[in-house]
Amino acid sequence: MTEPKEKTPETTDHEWDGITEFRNPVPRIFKLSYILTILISVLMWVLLPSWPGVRDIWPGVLGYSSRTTVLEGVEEAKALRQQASAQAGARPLGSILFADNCAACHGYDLAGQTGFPNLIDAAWLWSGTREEIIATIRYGINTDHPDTRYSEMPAFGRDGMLPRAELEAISDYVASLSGPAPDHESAAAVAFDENCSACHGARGSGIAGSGVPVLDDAHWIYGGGTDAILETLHAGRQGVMPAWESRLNDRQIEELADYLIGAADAQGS
Amino acid sequence: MQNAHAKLERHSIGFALAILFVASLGGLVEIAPLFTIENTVEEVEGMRPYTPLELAGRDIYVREGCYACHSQMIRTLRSDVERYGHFSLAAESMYDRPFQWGSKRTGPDLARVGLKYSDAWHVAHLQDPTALVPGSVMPPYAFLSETRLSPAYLESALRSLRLAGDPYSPGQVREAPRHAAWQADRDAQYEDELRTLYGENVQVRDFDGQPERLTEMDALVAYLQMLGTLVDFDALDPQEIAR
Repeated sequence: MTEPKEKTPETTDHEWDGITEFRNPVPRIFKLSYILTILISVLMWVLLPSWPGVRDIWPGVLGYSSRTTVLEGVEEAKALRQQASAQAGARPLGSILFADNCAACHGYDLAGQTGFPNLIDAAWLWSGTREEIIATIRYGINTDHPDTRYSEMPAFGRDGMLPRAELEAISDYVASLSGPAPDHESAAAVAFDENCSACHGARGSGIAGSGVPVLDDAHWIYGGGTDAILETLHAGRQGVMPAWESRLNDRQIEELADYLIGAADAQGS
Repeated sequence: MQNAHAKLERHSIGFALAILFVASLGGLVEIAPLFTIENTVEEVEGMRPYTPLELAGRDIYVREGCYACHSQMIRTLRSDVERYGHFSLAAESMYDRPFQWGSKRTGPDLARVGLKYSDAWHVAHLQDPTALVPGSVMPPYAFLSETRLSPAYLESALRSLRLAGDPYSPGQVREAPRHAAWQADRDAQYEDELRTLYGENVQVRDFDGQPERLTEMDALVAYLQMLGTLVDFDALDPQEIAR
């Protein structure tokens, strides 16, 4: 066994009470990698967008931009999907689009929530054809879009069109419409005929595809109890469905419409 | 070479200058880009300073710590762009002091939540998130509907922003509290005035479903409904943003 060779390391020449300081160099691997990182950074400055100039930013020799790259990636994915959906047995994207965009209001089960219509109860406000569903998704209801659908229940109470007592009577009558034996001869029925039937149809039977709810069925958006109906009569309703034209492309809107029709059919059968 | 440092360490003025040089490099890298900020912010159409009501909503957003769970930054990643929409531009944060980019998404990104849902949904959701989104861990903020907005402070808020360089006119500063109430008016009586003052993309209506009073809910929903809606992406120059 050989003894390691005795070697006195160099010191910094300082001495404090007999204590001296070694002057060992930084291990070579560290020093080299340090220099290497500096060289790589200089290379990156040249290749990629980096230093700001007076007018613009140095664009880099490669001309890389994460912004154009992502836009290309989105286009590429769109083309891929187009290709994939043309194949037989392709999984439609409607359910994913629905979960991302629509479920917050209409519910993950499509059954709606108070104030947000049920989409699988076959009670369509705007007739439920594919074209009408697409139009509703694209332009929305009561939005700022120029082609938006309008649907406005006036505030009969707040705007002083009918006295409170009459509203209470009408709300009882409206609630009874979906019941077994509504009284169509009552004073409230006459008031309904004068004030409400122009939009909601005679005896609340609705006008197909007009966007106005049918009142003699069991489907309610804001609730079918007397209190909920009274609130509707008092303060009106101006439910908003956002316009999706700027958010979703034509194909996505069609996928969504097909998904909704499929889900409603499945529920009906 | 081995003894180079020994030489430096023995010349105190030279050593001090060397320290100054190295330290200034760090400063240079951080400070120099600030002088070129004008050409890093894209030129876009539609960006405008916040209206007083939106600003009040933004202050509530910051006060309640919404940024802790919601980012406002759609990154240049395909997954982000496909889910949330066009990636965020620097210009879209130009009137944010401070910006609300955020660093964590417990909830979804809100950079383009404006007009994605109806006002009624926002109000119901803020009042009781789990009622509308099962499994949500967002706390309820029902008190916002019960808390009247005190718009008096908006005058000094706009004045401060004006000092910081935001293009508010003295009239806009002076009338800020009144303009806040105008924007939440159910009948939108002053829509034309507000649009002349702030721009065509101002949304004027009662936001919280309580037309008779101005609440913090009005302000917060007004703020949420304008997020990401200002920039006109149809008029965007692809050259301008491709970098």
